[in-house]
Amino acid sequence: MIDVQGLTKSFGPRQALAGVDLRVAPGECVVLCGPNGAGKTTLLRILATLARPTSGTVRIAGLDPAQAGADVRQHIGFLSHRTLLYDDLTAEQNLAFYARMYAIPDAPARIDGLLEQVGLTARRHDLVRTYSRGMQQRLAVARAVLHRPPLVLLDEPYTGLDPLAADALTALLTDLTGEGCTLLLTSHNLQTDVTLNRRVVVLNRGRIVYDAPHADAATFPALYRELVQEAGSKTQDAGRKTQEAGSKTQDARRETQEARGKRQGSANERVGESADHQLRSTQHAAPLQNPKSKIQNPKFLRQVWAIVAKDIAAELHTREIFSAMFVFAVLALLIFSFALDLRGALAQAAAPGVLWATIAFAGTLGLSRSMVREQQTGGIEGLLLAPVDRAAIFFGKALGNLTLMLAVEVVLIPLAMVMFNVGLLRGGVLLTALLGTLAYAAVGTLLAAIAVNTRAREVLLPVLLLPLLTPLLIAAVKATAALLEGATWAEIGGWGQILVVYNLIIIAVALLTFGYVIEE
Amino acid sequence: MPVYLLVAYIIFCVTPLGLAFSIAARRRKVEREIAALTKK
Amino acid sequence: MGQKRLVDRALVGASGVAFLVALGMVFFYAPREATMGEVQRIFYFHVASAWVGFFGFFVTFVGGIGYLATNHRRWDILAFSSAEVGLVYISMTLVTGMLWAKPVWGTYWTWEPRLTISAVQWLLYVAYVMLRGSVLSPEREARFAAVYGIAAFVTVPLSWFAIRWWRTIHPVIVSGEGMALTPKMIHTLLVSVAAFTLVYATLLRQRIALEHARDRLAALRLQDEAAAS
Repeated sequence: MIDVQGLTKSFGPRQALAGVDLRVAPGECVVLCGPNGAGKTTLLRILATLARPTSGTVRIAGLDPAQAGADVRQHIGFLSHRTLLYDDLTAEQNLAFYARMYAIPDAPARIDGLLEQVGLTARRHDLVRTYSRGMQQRLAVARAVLHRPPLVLLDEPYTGLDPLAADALTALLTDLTGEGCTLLLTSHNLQTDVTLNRRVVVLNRGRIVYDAPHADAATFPALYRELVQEAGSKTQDAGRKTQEAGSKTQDARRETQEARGKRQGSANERVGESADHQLRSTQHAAPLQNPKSKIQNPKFLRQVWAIVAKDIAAELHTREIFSAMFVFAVLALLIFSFALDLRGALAQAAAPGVLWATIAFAGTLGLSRSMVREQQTGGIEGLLLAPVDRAAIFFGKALGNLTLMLAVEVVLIPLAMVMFNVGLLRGGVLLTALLGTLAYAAVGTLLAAIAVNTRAREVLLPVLLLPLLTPLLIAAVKATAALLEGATWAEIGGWGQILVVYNLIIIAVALLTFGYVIEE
Repeated sequence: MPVYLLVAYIIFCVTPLGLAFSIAARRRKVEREIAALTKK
Repeated sequence: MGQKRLVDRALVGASGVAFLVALGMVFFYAPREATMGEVQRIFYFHVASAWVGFFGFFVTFVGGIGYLATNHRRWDILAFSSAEVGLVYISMTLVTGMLWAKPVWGTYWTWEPRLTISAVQWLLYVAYVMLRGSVLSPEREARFAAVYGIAAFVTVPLSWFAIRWWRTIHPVIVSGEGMALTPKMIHTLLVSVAAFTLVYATLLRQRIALEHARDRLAALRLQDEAAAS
């Protein structure tokens, strides 16, 4: 199921993985142990296609993640240390959203079954933000296995769970193994039954230092401590000891292979089952294989729409972005009116500029918040894990932001008409508003995705965004002013062209670069 | 009037030189630290 | 290593000489301009420094594309180094532009197209540098900066058109147009531009070397820590 060879991963000069070889057979359950910083999470994230290896080969179900991204992702369920759930959606909405992302055919029945299994049926219509840590973790597990992946990766699944919840999780994992799932989980928890009767792999300083098919619960913790300290010791004979550990590993590997041979017989049925899973999932993922037709692809459009609908649903639950943007816009109108002493003809002349400045400033508020909402509990990783095109994520987020901004403008434009005594309700003006807002949402989504990953995210977004808006704002203000003076769309010439060209250029750049921004 | 000209050309001369010295100073600091580490 | 140092020395020497030659031409070769007088001499270095200011951002754009395409750190170093040098030059352009505007137009600042686009360019550089200082992981920093450099660069020509048209539709009285350039003025301008480009290349090379040295130091520190723990 997993075949990793010579895998390395470096972060700048720091090497997180220094040559990992690991094979996991279908139906196997492997526990990955190691101290903090050993590279466990990095390994899991590479297997989950969230991170790219620096060198080495990775095969999941025989496929190369770098080439067959979407197909591979259909095979993998990943439970991260974050829940990858949206706080502002209900449990059912969360699962329904991911069901659309994975194109699960029997979604309602599958969701009902899973909610029952993790004991959340009674609270399915409550917002996830009201859940306890244990409930969130259970829902996160349901999310990870929603699309019946033949391979499930779990990063510290027991963290933060009380003993009861931990038992429930163990039962769920046992069920999964019974269904023929391959499991790979990381754990610090050496004493409990997590490591009992399972293949245990110990990772230290980016290398596998131990690999045995069965860990003895009584002696393993002591052995583990020895392994970890041994490899970390700075004495001169560290090299010699590591060699010893290495030869131990080799022994252990030999053992593993023998054990695998023995188990092969009983695993045969499981393999058959998981092959069935693979077949089904490959069928789902098939339409994405032709990237040229992706825009016309109904699955692509469904995913875009699912992301937009998810953003709108979250906003309808909280209404926080809309109200903040709207109130901020009204305040901006007020401040402009007394800062520039706008009365009578002066107000009419200044109206286009004031309106667009207001939209530009209020927009940064909304964009920032919308991306934070996506990032908060790792939602964007949830999207990256799904077999969804990066372009679909961009269009989904940009259209979601566009919808929000247009909703604000629907209220703001009539208000500006009354306050500044201008007739903004004309076809040309509305077209300008639409084009300007579309370009704003496109470039804003790209830059908000950047800003949200920085230390100074709230202050940085306007600093990054506003200088790029110069041509857009000039053209939008000039076009609006000319149209208000009675010009037709054809007569405003260059300004309309700048609006259109700006849209085209910025959407093209965003489509080409968005993947680099959201991937880790 | 030539005062503006004079100030402008002082800026033209001083700024690139300043940048050059700043880069050189930072470089020297880094090289010193490298030397200290390799000696150790 | 020896050859590298030789190139370094040659570049430093050549850019120093070129700079002095250009400076000499500005004051002793170029004629006195009729309407603006001596102060017009700001023009030569001002234009040269604006050219480097914009060209530096183009190099940052190219470095960004190179980094995204190859994932090689040297492209990122090129992009970042060029942005730092470019920022200094565009700042210099803005300040000397204001010093020129005061005696000629009677005000330090006017929303004249070229001054406005320089201001926008300055803001783009500052945003780029601020972004670089604010990302946690070095790999993401490089990628974010590359994307921002590309997105920002493609808007520059549109900004230029928009600001031009904005001013020509409602023409302003003050403008730098109508300055007749004699051949001697053109020579001086060309030599200035060449000298500034050479100085830019030298500074860029030194700045890149600094970044490489920093990388070496970081790698050594890591080795040191690994040995110590």
